[in-house]
Amino acid sequence: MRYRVLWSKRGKLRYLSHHDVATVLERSLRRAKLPLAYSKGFSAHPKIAFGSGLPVGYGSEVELLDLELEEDLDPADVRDRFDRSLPEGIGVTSIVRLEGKTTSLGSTIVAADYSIRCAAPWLRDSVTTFMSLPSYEFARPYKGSMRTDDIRAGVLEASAEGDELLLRVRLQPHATRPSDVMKVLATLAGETEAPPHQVRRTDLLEDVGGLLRSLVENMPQLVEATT
Amino acid sequence: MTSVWSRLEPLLPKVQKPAQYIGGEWNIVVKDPADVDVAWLLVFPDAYEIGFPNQGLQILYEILNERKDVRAERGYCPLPDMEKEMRTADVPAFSLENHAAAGSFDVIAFTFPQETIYTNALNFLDLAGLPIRSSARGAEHPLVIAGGHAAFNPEPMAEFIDAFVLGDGEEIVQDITDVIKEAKQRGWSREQLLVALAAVEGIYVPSLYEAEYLSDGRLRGTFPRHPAAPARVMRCTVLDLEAFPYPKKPLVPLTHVVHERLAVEVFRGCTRGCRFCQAGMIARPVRERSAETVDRIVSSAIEESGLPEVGLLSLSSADHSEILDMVTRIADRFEGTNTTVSLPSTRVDAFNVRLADELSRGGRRSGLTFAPEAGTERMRKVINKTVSEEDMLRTATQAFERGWQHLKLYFMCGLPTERDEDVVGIAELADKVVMAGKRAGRSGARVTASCGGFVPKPHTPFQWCAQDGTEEMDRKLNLLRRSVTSKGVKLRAHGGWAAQIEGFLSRGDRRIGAVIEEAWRRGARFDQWHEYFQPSVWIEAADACGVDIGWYTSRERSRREALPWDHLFAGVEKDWLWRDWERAQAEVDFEDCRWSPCTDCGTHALGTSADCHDISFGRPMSLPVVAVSSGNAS
Repeated sequence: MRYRVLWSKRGKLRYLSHHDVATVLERSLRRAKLPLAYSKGFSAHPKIAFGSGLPVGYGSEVELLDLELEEDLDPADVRDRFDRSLPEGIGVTSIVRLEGKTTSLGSTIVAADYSIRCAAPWLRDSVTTFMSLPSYEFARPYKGSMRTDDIRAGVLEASAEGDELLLRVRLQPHATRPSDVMKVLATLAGETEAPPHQVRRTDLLEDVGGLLRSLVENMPQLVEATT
Repeated sequence: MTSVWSRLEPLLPKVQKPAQYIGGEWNIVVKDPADVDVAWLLVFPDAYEIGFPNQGLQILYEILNERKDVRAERGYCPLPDMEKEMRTADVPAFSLENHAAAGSFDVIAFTFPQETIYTNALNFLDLAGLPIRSSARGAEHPLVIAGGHAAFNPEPMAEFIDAFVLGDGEEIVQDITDVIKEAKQRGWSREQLLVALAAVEGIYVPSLYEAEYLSDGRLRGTFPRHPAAPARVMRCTVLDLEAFPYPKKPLVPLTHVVHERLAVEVFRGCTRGCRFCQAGMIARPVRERSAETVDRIVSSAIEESGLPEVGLLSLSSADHSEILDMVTRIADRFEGTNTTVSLPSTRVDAFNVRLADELSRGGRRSGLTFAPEAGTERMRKVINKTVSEEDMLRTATQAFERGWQHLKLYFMCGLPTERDEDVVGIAELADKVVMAGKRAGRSGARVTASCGGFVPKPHTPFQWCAQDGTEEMDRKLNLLRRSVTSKGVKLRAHGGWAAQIEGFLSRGDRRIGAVIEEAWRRGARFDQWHEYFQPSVWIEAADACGVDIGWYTSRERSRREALPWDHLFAGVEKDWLWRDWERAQAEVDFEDCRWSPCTDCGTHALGTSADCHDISFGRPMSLPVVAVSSGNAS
């Protein structure tokens, strides 16, 4: 049976990498004695599929993963056992059964919302400037070399209020990183590097007929549909 | 105590692998400092990824935290990028549980598994904001102690460490805790505390001893200068491992570390008597856990941890008297569960192939390792690792027949009495093993031969011998490289300055502490990491201190010379070691005393019964073997 899991990453455990988190979740499922399905073959790996990887240092309340268990268990029971076996900082919010054919999370999630805390006084002005530009070339490390893209095209919405910046960015065809946006905003403000900032992911979005829709807000509907 | 987390966190985005500094591991024990009387900081003075898996510290962590009046936290060394950030931002060395400053603990306890870790320990103390020298610290500072195998020659670190623990830690940490608790309650001075610790069997307090030297620079001896200091410090030994069934709640890392497996010790000590092996001399006698106990520890710790692999560890796990029963039982338990069992063993015989067979049921046959240690039978008699070439080739043939393609062989170069033919013998033996594989029908048979430069260690029969210098070692390793003819042999050889500095630190005396400090001041860190080790720093530091490294490494000692560790009893008498050194030079080998007569090494003086062999859950031990004559290992 396949399940979709809404989980969170907070506190000190924000500094785990995506790869670290995958290992932590797998070991937690083993501790919870949940009958995780494994692929066949010499190097069997657990059937866990992640949505969009969360960069090191980012917090999130809205991470999604799909996993497959060997048995059909009550989602509430799976959630409780899974959550109890997780280290402090990672938590399971809700779990729903996935039935029928579903598209993978990786291709479903096309955009994400972020909240960024940053005390820079120029934040609001810089956001206004940035959003008024038609495009902005930005070079980022990519597979050992540098790759230049139009980062402006990756930012769908941006607004600053006080020391909080709200961003909606594209994750397809590649993920636009809030920290990169912060570098650009700093450059526009005449700074040499991005100021300290804390990033939290607040929503994951899918494309439904050209409109972006929250995957997280639609989780409860899935619960009702399957129980 | 206040947490340094709020000052540490801004540094994390600036460094590589920040997850190593966050703590939060599964089964971590975080106690409120207000609730305990004694706070321990257990430090493995290397990077988190190296230090985390250390079994010794994890066992002490559990034992100490089981006490209500104690909290034990862990510390590791920041990597150079983080050290730089911490120094700039004035963030002290810290623990992972409460992110408490290292200087706020009652005791900082280092483990020294080997000697090239010393500069990291000094750096940790300095990062903690503490004076690195013991004499500059008082009751207002943490007590600084150290244990581990390298502590059996504590003299090079005698100026920096307040007290050394010789031997097993499970019982003595209770005594140390009680003494510290009393010292705090009564407001003892540092000296009063040290005098009280010196009375505990197994503890060596170097400041209560004086090292005296002869006019030619050799040591005259190390003598007590305080009535509380015993003339001879005895190692502390846990005789009944069954009483300490750890790990119970193993720590599980959240980020990458070098060994991500549940480690369970199946026995402690080894009496095979390999003359180069310090562990086999200083951890006698053999103390086994029963197969039943091991199975119980493994099954509950796997449930507690969720780890996918268990390693059954010891100095030579295939020698456990119930090993086949143990391995079969555990392999049965985990059959079809995605939990794998490994048994690091390098014994050169058919039984080892049988065990490996059992462990890889239906799974991968990735690599099988054997340790003949030397290239010729003569050389193997010198080191008392008696494996005939016939044994080696028969064992290899069986392994190839049972499905393995790739064998690893461990060797050493630079052993005492070594001749060029012994070096060439390493290449020849590796070549012959590949040929044996081809004859067994494995056309792709491969051998990786690893050859390390031999470093003489204290408390071994080779403690008197001369170590090869870097030029001689390089010459021999080049000879070895030229002698390999088979394309199926891959040679990994390493020697040179790393072995030289390790040898210098291993057999050094109190005077070389100045060199360690000077090397650290000149930037030496992580000396066992290829990417950080800088021989020139050590050479210059020794020059600056007027110390000749070669005098310590390549000088053969005479029988009468006082050695810096003579006042410490590790379990084997010096006279026995000398007789064994003579046997080595005469190329005389002998059998393990578990299945042949006692050679009276002196271990029974540690409080074991006259017959050391009766102490493993009340049963005499025998060598687990199966017939090696047939071609089929099972």
